[in-house]
Amino acid sequence: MAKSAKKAKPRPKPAAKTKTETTKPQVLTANSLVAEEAPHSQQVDVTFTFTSGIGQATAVLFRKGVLINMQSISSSGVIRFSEVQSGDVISVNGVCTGTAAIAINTPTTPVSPEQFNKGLIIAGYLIN
Amino acid sequence: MIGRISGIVIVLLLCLSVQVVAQKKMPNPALTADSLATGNYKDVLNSFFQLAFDRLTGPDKELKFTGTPFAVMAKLDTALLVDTLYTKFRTLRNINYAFGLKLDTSFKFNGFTAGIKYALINKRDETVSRAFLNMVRNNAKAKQLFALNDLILAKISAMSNPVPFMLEYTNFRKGEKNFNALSQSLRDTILAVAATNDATKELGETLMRNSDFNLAESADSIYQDLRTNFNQNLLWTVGVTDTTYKNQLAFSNIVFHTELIKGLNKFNETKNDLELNIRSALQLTDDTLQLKRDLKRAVFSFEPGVNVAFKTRYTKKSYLELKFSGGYYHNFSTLYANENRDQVFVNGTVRIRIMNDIWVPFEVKYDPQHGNWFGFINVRANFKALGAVAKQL
Repeated sequence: MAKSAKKAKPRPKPAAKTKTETTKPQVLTANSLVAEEAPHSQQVDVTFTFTSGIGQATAVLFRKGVLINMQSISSSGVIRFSEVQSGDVISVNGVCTGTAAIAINTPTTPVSPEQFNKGLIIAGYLIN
Repeated sequence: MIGRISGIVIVLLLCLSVQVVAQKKMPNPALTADSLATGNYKDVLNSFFQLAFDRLTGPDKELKFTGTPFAVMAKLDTALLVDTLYTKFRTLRNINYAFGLKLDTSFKFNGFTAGIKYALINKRDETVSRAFLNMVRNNAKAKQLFALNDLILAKISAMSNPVPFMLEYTNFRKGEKNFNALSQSLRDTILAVAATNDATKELGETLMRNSDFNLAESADSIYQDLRTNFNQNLLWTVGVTDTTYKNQLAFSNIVFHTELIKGLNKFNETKNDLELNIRSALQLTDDTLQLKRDLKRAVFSFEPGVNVAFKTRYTKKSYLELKFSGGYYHNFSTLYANENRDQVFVNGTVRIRIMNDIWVPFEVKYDPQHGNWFGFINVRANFKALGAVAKQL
């Protein structure tokens, strides 16, 4: 009886992106843009609240120097990264015409929430 | 009653002064739309509240309070300030209402005033402008800062012990540390990553040239420059104001007015602002030749002028404003004795900012036909939140 062929385990699908923007990544391989599922990975929400004006922001998830996920938001709401690991870094760039608050639902360095006055939003958070 | 009102006004102004002095102690005071706007702009359309004591030296003094319905609503329900609701109340934010008391030379009650004003065109409200947001976002200098932030954070994510770097970089991006105050290793890392990318090469060279570089101050400067230019845009308002008799709740005076202001040196990096200001009004008053009270005396006025605002070099706050205008008046009604149907005036206004939110305008009017001079001193106090004042009272 012939041995049944081993079925290849399907690769986990990349996390859904609300909006993708092109950037110049550092070092990319075929697998580097895939958010790999791991036992210690978690879903992380980055909540933006713009008050007394409007705002716009882009959050980028970096892992070991590689861009893993990038999402943009143009009003108050949540950006969700599905596979985040300790040591990952979330970069946030944006603008607000009133005030803005960024809250991340997991411990980070520096701690969140963080408040921003009107102007450019330039921030970054290391996932603990 | 008037004495009590005057007392409240003085206490209110003193309280505002205390608040301003307290703000000075902050290391980096936040610049707000209210604090940066020219006095002339705040007189045309107020974004929150304004208390004015007009014509202190004239026979018709006026104590006036101006506000917007949205400011009151937002005070009662702060959820309205969240962008998803904030953008829906643009119309309410473009409405100003005013009410006040008229006082005579001896500060006695001389009638009530009330008015409403609406901004038909308000291209100065950057808080709800997507075009302004995109302009900032696509600014070349802003893009360099964003790119540098991404590159450094990508680098930190690849470090074996990223926490100390992250904490130090956070101090840098918040403006708590200048570039030269960073550790040598972080400085080298920043310069190295900036040099590797075309988008940040220029910024990297700036960092090498200017070791005092402060990231937060640079970011703020980029934003404020763009905002200052945006606030040169067109603003056109229309409104109506009325005054009652001191002994009867009937209109003694109704004024339909319109006003337009627009910056003349937009996108010009000059230190001072030049602003076109055109006013026109139709005033209906009591014809005193008639026995009964009416509103049959109609006077049309047209006042084109130019306002020059002198601003501080770094904070871009105007501290002195000069306004020159001409005035043409036409009387549609029966003329009184020795009265001309058409009159021409030359006006001048000097506005001095004596504190962060308090202006003292001094108005001079000259009648070239009769060689008469008239002068008035006003006090204007702009304040953003009634709550802050109420707490101090």
